[in-house]
Amino acid sequence: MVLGLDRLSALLNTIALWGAVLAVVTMVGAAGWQVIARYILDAPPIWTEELARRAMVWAGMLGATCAFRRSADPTLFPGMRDLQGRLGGVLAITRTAGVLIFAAPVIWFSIFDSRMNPLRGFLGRSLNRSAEMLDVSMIWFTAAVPLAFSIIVLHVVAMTLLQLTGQARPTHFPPTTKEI
Amino acid sequence: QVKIALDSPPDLEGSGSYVWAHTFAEHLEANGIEAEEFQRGALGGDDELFDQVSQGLLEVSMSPLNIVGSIDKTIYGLRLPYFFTDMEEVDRALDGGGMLEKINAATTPEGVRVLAVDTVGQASGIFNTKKPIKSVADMAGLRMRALDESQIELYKAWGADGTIVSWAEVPNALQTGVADGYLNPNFVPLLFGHTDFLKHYTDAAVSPSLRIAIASEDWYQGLSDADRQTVDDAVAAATAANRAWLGTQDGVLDQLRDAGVEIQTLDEAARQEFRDASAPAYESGLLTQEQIAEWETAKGN
Amino acid sequence: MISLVPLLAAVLLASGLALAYVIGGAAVVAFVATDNTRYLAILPQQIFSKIDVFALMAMPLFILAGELMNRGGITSALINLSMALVGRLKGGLGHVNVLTSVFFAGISGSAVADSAALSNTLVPEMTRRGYSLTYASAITAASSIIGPIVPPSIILIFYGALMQTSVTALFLAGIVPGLLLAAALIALNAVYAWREGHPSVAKADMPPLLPTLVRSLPALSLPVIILGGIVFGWMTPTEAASVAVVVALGAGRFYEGLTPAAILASLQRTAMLSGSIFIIICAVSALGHLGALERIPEAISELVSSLGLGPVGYMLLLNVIFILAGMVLDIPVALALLVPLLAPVALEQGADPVHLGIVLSFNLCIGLISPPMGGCLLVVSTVTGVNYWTLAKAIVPFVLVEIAVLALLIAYPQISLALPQAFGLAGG
Ligand code: NA
Ligand code: NA
Repeated sequence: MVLGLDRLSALLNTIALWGAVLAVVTMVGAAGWQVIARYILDAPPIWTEELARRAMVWAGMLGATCAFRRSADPTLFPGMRDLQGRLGGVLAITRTAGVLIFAAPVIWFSIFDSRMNPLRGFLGRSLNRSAEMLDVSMIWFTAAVPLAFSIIVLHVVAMTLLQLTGQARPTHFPPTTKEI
Repeated sequence: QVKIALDSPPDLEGSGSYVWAHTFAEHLEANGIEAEEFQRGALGGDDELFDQVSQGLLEVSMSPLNIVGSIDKTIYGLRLPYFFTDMEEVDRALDGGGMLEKINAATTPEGVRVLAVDTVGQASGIFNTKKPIKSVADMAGLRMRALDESQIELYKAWGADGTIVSWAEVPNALQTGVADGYLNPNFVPLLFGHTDFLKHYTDAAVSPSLRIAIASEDWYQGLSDADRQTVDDAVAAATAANRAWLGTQDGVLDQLRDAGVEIQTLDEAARQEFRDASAPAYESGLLTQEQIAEWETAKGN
Repeated sequence: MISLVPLLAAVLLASGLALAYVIGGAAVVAFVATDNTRYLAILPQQIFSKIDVFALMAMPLFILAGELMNRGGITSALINLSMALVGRLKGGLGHVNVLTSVFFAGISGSAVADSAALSNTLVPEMTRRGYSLTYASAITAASSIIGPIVPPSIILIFYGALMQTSVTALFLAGIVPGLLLAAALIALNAVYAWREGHPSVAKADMPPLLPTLVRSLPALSLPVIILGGIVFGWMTPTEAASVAVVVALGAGRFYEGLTPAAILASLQRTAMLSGSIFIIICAVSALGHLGALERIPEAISELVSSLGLGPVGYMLLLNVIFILAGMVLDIPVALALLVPLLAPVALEQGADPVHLGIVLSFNLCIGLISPPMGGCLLVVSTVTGVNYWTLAKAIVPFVLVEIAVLALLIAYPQISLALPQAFGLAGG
């Protein structure tokens, strides 16, 4: 069961990584097309900026899930993640709790509104709103937020269960944020 | 306690939007309802404020028209070029003509009520970096910064080009020729320090300069009858103060002149020319012909 | 109840949880503790709005351009060019080290990437030619921070998005301070060269100027395109960044280092790095909203004025806070957490937002090379194998010189503001 969950987590990670790559490519394409269209075709397109920006949201949110699974987010005490045994287990559960506390309201209020009204949550509300220049519902873009947080929750649960059952896979990479 | 999110600096002389918000708050306070103003940006950007209002987590927010335009486009009638002659006509269409009610019929199911439309300055005119615009023909060769597709259509109808530039990049775009000018109320370049490079203004009075005050529908409906009456009175007082404030804005043109901007005023013939040239903007598809007809009827009311 | 929040944050931090999730978790608990639970309902919209920001777009694009460039094998071309230009001077390789960082700065501008690349290549070369490993490592780390000051700069883009300040103006404002920093380091290197008898590069070892220049042109075209494009208004920073990506792809073909696998890896790293930054923005935005509801910014403003800190005093305090933050926190965390909280007060006191952006970035960068915890020091000591504490001691003179440049910058804001003002992009 635990291994199945980890396989699901790995599969989602692969999909998210490809999705993020696609979103980055879309972003480069849209922003690049804006320059070309202005100077070569002399016809300024109205949708490029919005498309590039929304693609960035998808790239960033999906990228965040991948960074989480690789443990590549900046961390003050990364060494604590290497601890095994009982203490390691307690720490893993603590980390899971921290992620859940953050993610739970994001996911919950994407579905429900402040009065526990389903369908009137963040997603329901954005379904009824249209994007600025692109003629589609906002939900195509806003969905990136709850989706990413759900994937992150799945990753953390899979990682923790692996560690608790003594099957921890080798984890973290140095934080990529060192590179800015 | 009523939270009011501002969209401008708390300046009773320069900001019509603040005049509305502050008068509204004062009226509530004077009648036993606590009100609190939040600085522009403190509670988030336009989208976030709208979201908070729609969920009843923020009572009142000063917002741009397009924030409810994303639900229903009726409100864009207020942006039609050369449709309203003055604010009186706007008020007539909104109140007597029932357009405010019509707008709210679409937004209140989303939890948002448009309390009032407030003016932030005199009707918008044409700023540019290159040349004095005295007639529609002078627009040729200009690339104007546009807000959206319908504004691009308008520029094309005038014989110019439009390009979408986000507000943050406007100064750079104007200086470097990515854009040559924009359509805005006369105070805008003064407020944002664009008078160094925008050297020409044409007081073309294209459309009124408007924003809206939105309120949480849940909050509004949850008020006692007495409190709701107080809120309605506060809205009326705020709107009256806002319209009175507009009368004090004649000095802006002098300030523009002092800042080195050359000002063109159109004679009736030239104005009519702009009006006629703007006709295609009524077919941009932003509003249906039925919606335009509704506004037309409401205005004549 | 609210006192539990710092305790919880400490526990989460100690568990090895990433900072973004510590901040996010603590923020959520703080909403509950301050009886603001119902306001959590706006969290999803808040998160979306804070990352769906036009000004942020240049960030992933410049990250990608830098990734592609660094994988394309330009390091040797840039080192050779620097060698041809300043190698013959006494202490030549030290100058080369600084100058290469300037060229690097115009391409991407990650201090850590710069210090890792030069630690691998130039430091062994320097030790072979009579420099001590310690000195070679110290100057590598010290000059790496030119990267984020000279445009393009992810730090400046991030600051611009947080403070709604023109990225173009910030980029222009970074040029002179960055070059000044380089000049100061070159001067210090000259002093060391004279005192320690560092050699110049032998004539026989000099790369030929013309072929070297030609070979480095594709790499050097990038800063020209980026700066020229932005300054002369052919494009916005975002558009320039997308052009930079295309140029980097072309340059990568030229240097033959850019395989399809390397391109894919660049795209993946761009997404993940952006993701790490976005999740920090998400978490901090939650905290920020609670702060607004509880009127924390007003309270800070009042606290500052009640302490009687004038503009100068507050600026000095900010400098200390940001240098310390740069030592302990990753730069995006420090920026997202501290800038919205502390920068507005400085603006109220009359600081220029563009100048402030350069100063704060400068602070964070000095933090990166300041013992005991600077990030760049760690990278350089890991790669070159020099003892961390030996390096920390050796870098002190460099840090002092950099602080002197910073002091000059604070005393004379025109150093940063003159250029953007010349283009009408900053207040007078
Ligand atoms: Na740079
Ligand atoms: Na260097």
